[in-house]
Amino acid sequence: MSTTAITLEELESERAELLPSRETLCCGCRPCGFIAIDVNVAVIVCL
Amino acid sequence: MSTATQPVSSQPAAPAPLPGTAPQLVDPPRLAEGVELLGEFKDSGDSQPPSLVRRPDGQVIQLSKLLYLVASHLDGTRSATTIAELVSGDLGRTLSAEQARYVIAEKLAPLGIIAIAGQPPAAPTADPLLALKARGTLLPARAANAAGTLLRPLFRPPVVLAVIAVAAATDFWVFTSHQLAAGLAQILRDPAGLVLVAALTVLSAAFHELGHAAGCSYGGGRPGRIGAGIYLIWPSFFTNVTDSYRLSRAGRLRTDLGGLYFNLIFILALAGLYAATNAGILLLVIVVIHLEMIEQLLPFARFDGYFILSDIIGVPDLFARIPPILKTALARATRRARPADPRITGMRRKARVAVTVWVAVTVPLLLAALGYLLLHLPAIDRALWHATATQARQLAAATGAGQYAAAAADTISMLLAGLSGAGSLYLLGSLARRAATTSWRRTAGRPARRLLAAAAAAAFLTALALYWTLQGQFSGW
Repeated sequence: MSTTAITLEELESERAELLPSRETLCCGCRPCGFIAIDVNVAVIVCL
Repeated sequence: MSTATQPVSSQPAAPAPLPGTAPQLVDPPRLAEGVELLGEFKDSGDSQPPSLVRRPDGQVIQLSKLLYLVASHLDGTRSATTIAELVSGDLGRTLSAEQARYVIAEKLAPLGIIAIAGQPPAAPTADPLLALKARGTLLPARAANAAGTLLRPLFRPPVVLAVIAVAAATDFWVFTSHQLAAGLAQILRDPAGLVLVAALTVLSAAFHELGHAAGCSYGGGRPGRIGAGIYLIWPSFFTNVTDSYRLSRAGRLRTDLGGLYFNLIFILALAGLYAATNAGILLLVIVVIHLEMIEQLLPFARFDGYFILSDIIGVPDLFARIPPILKTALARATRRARPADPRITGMRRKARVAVTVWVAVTVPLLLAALGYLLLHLPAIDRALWHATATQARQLAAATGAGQYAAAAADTISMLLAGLSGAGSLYLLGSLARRAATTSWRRTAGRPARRLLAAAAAAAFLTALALYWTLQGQFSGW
């Protein structure tokens, strides 16, 4: 069975990529002032 | 048997070694100690799915099919000729021994995954934009993995269905019962109640991270450490779930959604506590957690929404696709001919459309946010400094008066306002460093261009300082 040869151009286009660490984030520890804003928004939304 | 060797969507991972400094590979070639072949990236948005390898330092690398096949045949006994024959058999196309040697030396070795005779050079690592900085460990990998394993049963389908159903009923009651006013009144009467809200919110955030670890573990992954760091300007918890790259789309999505799912469990616990104590403030905490869950779903920074979108599309690093999409768009706008970038053309059509829309929305938003921060940096940090100083004075007064709950609230606010100020400087410092190093690298050997870049940077900084001064942002500190 004859197969086609891989060209230098194809070889050049082969690439790799360094993937970043997968780090899930949760910014729960914000200043109390921001939490107070959240609280106010919550109350406004719900009342 | 597979057939073609097509370019795989990716970005250049590592610079080629400088002439004369190429390390000496062991012969016959083999993978470096501790390098793992993780197999194909499942449910990829690329038409030719890439495969993954992991170095012992934890760095995961995405390889195109041909590169991965060559890597998978390196066992320290096979010659380049044998490897070329094996890869040719796998691909259905002919790879010569010389080409196999080229791939090993020029494509794989610079990634730090090939064994080197003597001291190996420093391997490249990813330096992603807008990543978490200043990380510290709260729960080492082994403990996080144990916690994930322990909490794994919470992801059994009947449990998940029950939690969602009860949480929906709880939410309906919380948002329609009008009991929240009692919680607000409690805070207004006694501001120290804010300490409880803050403490429970932080606890909820920590529990959220355990949800990611447990979700990763349920899917067969091994979660890494749980810790805290600075994200943009906010202190943030994090869980390293890099191992979920090797999971299926469902496994990755379970990992992504695990945090929000654990927020629901936390809400149920708070509702139970409310039923027992009738403390209205707990209902406020429930609403605050909902707001945080909505924030988590934003896909523009590396919150849960970003990873959810990334996994639905099947492209593991959306931020890495921004430069090629912008360059292509710019070339089209200016009608300049530009060779097709495999990072774009390698994507399936639906994935390409989704990523393009994400870039079109995200880039202006991030630029606007960054621009605002840059233009108002002294004013923002002045406000944060004043807040920190005020909290410090209130802390001293509260401590002196023996009001220890209020003192605790002031301590938390003082520390976090201070951290946010430091975070804003850290963020802009990091971006400036990145811009400087990129500019330095790109103007190497071209002194005129380097001079131009330096002049542009100096002009920009001067204009910025002038704007800050005219706005009066340096006064009133």
